Amino acid sequence: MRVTNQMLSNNFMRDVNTNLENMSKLQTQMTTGKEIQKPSDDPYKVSRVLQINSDISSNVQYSQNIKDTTNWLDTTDTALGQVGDVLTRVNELLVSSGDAAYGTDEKQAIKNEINQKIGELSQIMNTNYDGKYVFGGTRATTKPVSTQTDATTGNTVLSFNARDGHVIDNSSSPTIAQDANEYSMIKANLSVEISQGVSIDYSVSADEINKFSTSSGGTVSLIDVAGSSTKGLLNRITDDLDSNNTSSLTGQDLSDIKDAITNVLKLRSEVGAKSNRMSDAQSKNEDENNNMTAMLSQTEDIDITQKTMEYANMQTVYTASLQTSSKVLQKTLLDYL
Amino acid sequence: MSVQQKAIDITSHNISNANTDGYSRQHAVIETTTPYTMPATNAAMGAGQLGTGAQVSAIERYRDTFIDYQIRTQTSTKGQYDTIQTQLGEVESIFNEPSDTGLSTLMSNFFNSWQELAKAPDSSNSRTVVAQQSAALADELNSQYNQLTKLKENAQTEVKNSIVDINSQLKQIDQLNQQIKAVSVSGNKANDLMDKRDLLLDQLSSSFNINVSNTSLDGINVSPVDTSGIASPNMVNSVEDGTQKTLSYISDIQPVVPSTIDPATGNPEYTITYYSFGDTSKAANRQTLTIAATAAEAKTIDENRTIWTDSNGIAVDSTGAQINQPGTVYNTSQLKLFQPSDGQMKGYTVVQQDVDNYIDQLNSVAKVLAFSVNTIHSGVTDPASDGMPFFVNSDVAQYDANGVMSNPTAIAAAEQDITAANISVNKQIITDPSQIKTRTNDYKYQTESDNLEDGEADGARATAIAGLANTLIKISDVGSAINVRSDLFSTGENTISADGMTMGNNASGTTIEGYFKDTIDKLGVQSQEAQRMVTNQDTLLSNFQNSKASISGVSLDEEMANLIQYQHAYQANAKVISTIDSLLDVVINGLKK
Repeated sequence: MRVTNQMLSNNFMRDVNTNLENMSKLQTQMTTGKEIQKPSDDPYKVSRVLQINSDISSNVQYSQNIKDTTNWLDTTDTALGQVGDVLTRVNELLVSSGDAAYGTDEKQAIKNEINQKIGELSQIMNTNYDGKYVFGGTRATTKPVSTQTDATTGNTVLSFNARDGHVIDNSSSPTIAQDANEYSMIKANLSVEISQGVSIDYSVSADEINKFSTSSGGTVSLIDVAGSSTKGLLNRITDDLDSNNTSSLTGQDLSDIKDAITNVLKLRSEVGAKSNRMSDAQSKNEDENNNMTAMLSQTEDIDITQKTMEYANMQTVYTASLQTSSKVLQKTLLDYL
Repeated sequence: MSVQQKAIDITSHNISNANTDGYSRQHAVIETTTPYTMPATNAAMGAGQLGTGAQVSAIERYRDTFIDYQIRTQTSTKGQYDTIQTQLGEVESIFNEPSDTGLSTLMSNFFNSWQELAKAPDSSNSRTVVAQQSAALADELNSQYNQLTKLKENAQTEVKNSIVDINSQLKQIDQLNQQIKAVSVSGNKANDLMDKRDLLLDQLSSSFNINVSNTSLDGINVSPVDTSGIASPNMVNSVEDGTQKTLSYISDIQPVVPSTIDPATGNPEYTITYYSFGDTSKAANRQTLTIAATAAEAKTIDENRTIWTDSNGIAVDSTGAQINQPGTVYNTSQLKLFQPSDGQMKGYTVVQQDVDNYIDQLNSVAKVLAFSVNTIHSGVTDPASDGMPFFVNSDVAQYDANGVMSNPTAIAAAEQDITAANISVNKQIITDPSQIKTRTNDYKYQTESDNLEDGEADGARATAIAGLANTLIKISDVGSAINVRSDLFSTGENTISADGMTMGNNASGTTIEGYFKDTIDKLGVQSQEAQRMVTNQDTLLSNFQNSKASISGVSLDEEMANLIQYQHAYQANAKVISTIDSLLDVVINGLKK
């Protein structure tokens, strides 16, 4: 084949350009640390990367959800422990009230302490975490319960608290219609998504502490039910203490308060189980995150050693092409004429 | 001697054009002159014919027309993929994936912000974050739409510029054609002019694939390979009879206002504005005509933008008759679009189609996002009973001074027209994020504040919206089976619960993010293919160009060798003359003293 000077220089220019293109691609890969910069570099890898990135992003969100929920559950657990302590103290007081040696004064002292305990209970049930009342259901920014002082007996009365501060009518057909809504808000559970499609109810409502079933099969509540002839357990105890009804105090009241304690324990164990589940979910979430990050790295990160080798190769080729061409292109017949 | 001198002249011409584009080396065809036979009756006694020397009978160029043909074909193909590669590269940078700032990241952020809101619906922080993240997502959709539209406009400007170039090249070829013919008539070869003409043809072939046929006296006819059925498709005519065609640029195609249906075809009428020869600088070049076309045909015209015109720049039909009667409605079979199967012109058409596809896909993403989020946000499938749509059509939505929607009915009606261009978050929600509906029973109420049933920490609805990230929807049906919100749950085959919170999957659908990923995937494959084609064509073309250079290119070494050869011959001739001179000297000065 006949070869002309222009062919030589054109070919040289083209090859050097190809070398430079390759080097520039390697350079970008080395400086960014990523195998791919744009979809056309490797469409399959890019779609993998996009997929993994969005998976990681939602996983991180789930992890955040789990952490927040775990903290919430811890607060709930502590509060339930305190509720248990208060009820246990009430239980002790009831037992001691059965002491035949106790006179009216002692009964009065016991009643006073129980009134204090009711106030404490109200405080605990209004525990606030991160701006929300943990036992408040979905109505999280208003205290779920409040205490009033009974005008006639002077006893402390625990009741559900409405947004505007009045006592919620918790009967089945309240006079103020909104009371029913607010009561059901308090009863509602909060739920959170901890992984794709898996939601968990994590809140304990004030009403779950309030209502419990007794060993004899009935349902008793701590707080009075409006319009009902039977009073709530707490009020019953203080009334019994006022009327010195020892048989009821050491009988029905004592057995009911024990059931209330059992109920709180049951709630605590539920919270504990959820808390466990959260920590399991957390470690699973972390595992998944690690796996996906590893996958992402395998997909898009460069192998430094390999790229360095490739670069060294490339450099050799480039240098060789420059050296050879500078010699070949210089010579013409003119040099010898 | 003068023969050698001429040969040296040609060598010198070759050397000076060693680096000229399109130059083919020339050589002198040297032949012996007619021999001199002695006019004697006793010729048998002589030694025979006596040679009378040499002459240059012609100056010819080395050229292989078959390689020219191959180069032109490959140049056309390369032109097409070059264009596609450049433009798709730009689409890639518009989508900007994979990155931390692209649409897919914003979508993840969007859904994550709903998760956060689900945990703390009572906090105005998380509400504001949702409103802002959604606005960022909508803005990015708007901006990508605008950039893609701009890219399409750029491609159209390029088409216009190409048409101007093509017409000017055609004109030059035509002029050279006539000059060459004039030279040929006198029996000479117009080598340099033919080189110039070939170079122009090479350049022309990158715009579209051409047919070149030789005619008498070194003239040529040039026509595109794809003639759209035009009767005399020559763009350069060796015989100037005024039938040569030109190309013109359609600057605009708009439906006739008020919209009119052509009674003959039953199709809507469009006004086409075109500029003769693509030259928009002169107002006199502006021509209009009315055609009846289907929407698909109008789209083809919009993406093609080039029509056949006659030598005066007036649109013609297949017989070459002008179609410029005002008041006449032409049909699309009369309007002849220039649709080459190769070259940059084809590339621009393909790119515009591709960009249109990407715009459509962005629109689908925007529509489905708006439909599904609005449905779950309100819990109702009829926009008219949605008191607080989350995403609205910014073309229609109007707000009063307090940021409250002032035309809710129109906003509801315009929801079906939401595209990537006009999707926006309801400003009322941005001004007052407490309007975001997050609660279980919100579906019963027009606005969030009407709902007294649920507590402020109820984030069930927000969780449901966050769950949309994983809901499978038949997004590819947008525009056909899915046109309004409720279509998702009828033709779209998704299910929705009565409270509008549980949206069932369509097993044959994809997630919104998944659909967008597919789009990116497709873009990657297309762009990769264009790059591969460009590389292949480059290699192929450079091989042909090497073959061409091998035949036509100037080799300095060779010219040097020739130069020396001719120099020696020249010297030898001179020697002959000086020898004869000394012989004569003997005769003239030596014999007679």
